[in-house]
Amino acid sequence: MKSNENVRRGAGDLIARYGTLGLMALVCLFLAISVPAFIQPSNLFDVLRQVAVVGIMACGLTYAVAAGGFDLSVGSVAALSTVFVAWLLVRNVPVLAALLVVLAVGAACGWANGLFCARLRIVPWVGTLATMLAVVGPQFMLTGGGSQIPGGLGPKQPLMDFLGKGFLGPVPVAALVMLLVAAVAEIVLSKTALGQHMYAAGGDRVAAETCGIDSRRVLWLAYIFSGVLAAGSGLLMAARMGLGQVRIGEPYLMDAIAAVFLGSTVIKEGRPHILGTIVGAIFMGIMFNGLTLLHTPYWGFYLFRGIMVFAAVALSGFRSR
Amino acid sequence: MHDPPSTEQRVLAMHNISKDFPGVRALDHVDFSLHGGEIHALVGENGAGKSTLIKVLTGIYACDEGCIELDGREVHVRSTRQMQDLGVACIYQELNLIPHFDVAQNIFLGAEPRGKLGLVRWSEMYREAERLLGTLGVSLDLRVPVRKLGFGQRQMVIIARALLHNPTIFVLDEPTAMLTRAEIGYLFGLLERLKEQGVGILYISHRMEEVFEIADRVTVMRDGKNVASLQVAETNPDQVISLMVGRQLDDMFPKTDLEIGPQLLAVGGMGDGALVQDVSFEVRAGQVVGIYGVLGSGTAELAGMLAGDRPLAAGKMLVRGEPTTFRSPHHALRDGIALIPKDRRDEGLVLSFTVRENMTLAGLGRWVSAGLIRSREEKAVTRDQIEALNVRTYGAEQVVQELSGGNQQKVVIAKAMLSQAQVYVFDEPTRGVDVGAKIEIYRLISRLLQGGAGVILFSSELPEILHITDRVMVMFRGRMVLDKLTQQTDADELLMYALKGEASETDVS
Repeated sequence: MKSNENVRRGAGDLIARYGTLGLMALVCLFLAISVPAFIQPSNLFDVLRQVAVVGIMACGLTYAVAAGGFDLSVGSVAALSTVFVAWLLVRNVPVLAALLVVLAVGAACGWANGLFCARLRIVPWVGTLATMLAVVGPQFMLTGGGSQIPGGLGPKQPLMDFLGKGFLGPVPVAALVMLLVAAVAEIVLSKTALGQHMYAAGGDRVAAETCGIDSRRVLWLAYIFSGVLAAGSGLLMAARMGLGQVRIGEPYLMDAIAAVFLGSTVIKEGRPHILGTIVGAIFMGIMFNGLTLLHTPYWGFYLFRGIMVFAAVALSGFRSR
Repeated sequence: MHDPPSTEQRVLAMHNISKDFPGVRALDHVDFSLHGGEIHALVGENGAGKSTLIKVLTGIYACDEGCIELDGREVHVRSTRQMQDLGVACIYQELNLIPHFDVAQNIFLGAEPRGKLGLVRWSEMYREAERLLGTLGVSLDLRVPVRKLGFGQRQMVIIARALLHNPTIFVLDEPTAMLTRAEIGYLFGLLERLKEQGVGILYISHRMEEVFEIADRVTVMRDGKNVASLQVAETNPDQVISLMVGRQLDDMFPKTDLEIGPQLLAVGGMGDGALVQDVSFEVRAGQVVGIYGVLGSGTAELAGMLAGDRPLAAGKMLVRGEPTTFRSPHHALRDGIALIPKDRRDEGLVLSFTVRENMTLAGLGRWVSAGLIRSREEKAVTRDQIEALNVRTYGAEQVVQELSGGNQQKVVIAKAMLSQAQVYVFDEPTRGVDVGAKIEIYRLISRLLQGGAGVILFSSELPEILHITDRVMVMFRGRMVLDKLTQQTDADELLMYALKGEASETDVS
């Protein structure tokens, strides 16, 4: 009886750890067979390039979720970043200064989320939803009511073009940026005491606090990280599109959520982590790419997006039981 | 009684500590002191203020009045972290571990060795953890997530974490409640060693035999006051117990003789195909059936089967003469069989719910009309239950998480009573509760019997089995090996059957 249980647990464990990766491999195999264009290196790199925005946003969200919170405002904050950076660049603000200011605004949004959800202990779904909506205001303020900032990103912006559209050899720069961000985020979350404390606060707040961890502070920081990375993903978006557009980030929120929850089913045991999040984001990218290659009508994407979010959350929920 | 030998240094003095909660004075001008190299037991009923005193000491609560001196210097307590740094370590009843963190990560939680840039020095952490567990004489796989460990092992992880900071004051809040005898022996050895190193140990317990085995001094609390601090050598368990309860204990096991009524539940040939085999017995109104067995004998599984938690593989059940099957606790409750589980925190209660919500959860249908809860009636019923069971709470709307263990237990029982159960399956009802609460639970059982209910009592405490049951059965390796009227047996016989499955004439061990 006991050994039986162990065997079952062993097999279950294997499926739980590598199931998502296995599924991804199956999807790739299916696409490679049914649509040969899928495995062209140029297509695969294009997938990576498209994934970059969601990937960076999802890294931020990973922090919020790991520390026991949630952040619905990431898409909205990203949209604000596209608008704000365009507004600054059109006004001839030096590009580096513009980037830093926008990241700081992202941090401020995260700080506000932390104030609501970590300090005042408002339920994160509600607190960050408030930020998500509030942040739409300044976007329209900056565009003067239009849907875009007139004039794109202003005069020629070599740095923005490089980040958004550039290639190093065959590799898109945006993908490299995502990998770099992910590497740093991974180190902070899994190798530093701060990251450990975030997981602890998210795992059992009371236990963490009896160990002298200021769970409010680490959750607050997690929201700030989430805000900064959301702003970063918005910058990349603006660079790729060459303009700032109101409310552009909202579909990305769903993809980021799916990536984080899918990611928490990858290899490590049932908690969100950066590597998993990136895998999740890439998985989502591959699926969307496949849908495109299979000539799925546009409404299919919406349906698919909803199903993926549901499946991802269900899978990860199953794991945490 | 307050004169320590001069060789001992007073490491802690709490003067005149008071603490109020809404409607309750939890601590009332309490004085308490602790010396280095001393084991000082703190005893008292649930709700007497022991835990509150500890929480004031460890900085979780700020006291409203009074002051704390450590090593003769007054301390203004601001945070738990500050007290930790000043050498106060505490092992709480709930083991605060992060389940998915491994052993070493949990030991170093909040105190990770860090290098440049705040990076955790993992190899150093695992090395240190290894060394620390070595000094405790514990061998544990450092990389196993703690959720895979047993309770005793988890406690060792907590102790290792506490000792990391080289405490001068070591507080243990009922550390043995969930430990096996061997683990307790091990823990006591460890405490003796710490004592020799000059650590002052504050030991909270409700088990008299432990207090008299290990402590040097004992302080009794009752109703938020320090009733007495005594040298253990100069007192005895009876004196301490009557100080705790404030009354004499002649009626510790109330047992009224009742007419045995009709059969309420009968099981025949019941088994789960693995750990329980071919069990048959019946319970009648007004009767307490005791089931005794050592850990692993199948008693826990049997309790689960009776309450619908575990499927039957064989056998049949009759409730008031009608055959029935349970596929879930819900079905069992519908048929009037309620389990009062051992682990009330996990199974018995929704901790984030209020006393009222928990009490009426199972029988809520009774107060619903047209889909709406008749809340006035629900509240009135809850108030009655709180009063009848003497639940110590400041109101029906207090969250049960904030109640002490014995009071949570009462809420579980109230819940079962409100669902109109007729057979009550108690699984270790007095484990981890103090003497006073124990008596209350026995009284409650006797009241249930008077109301025409039948009780099945799973217990590993022989005195309890022998005093309050009418019939007793012993399980051994999944089978009933003894079934007798309680009057016709004794502790030796029960123990013999529980350990060996048969009576042995030659063996005297």
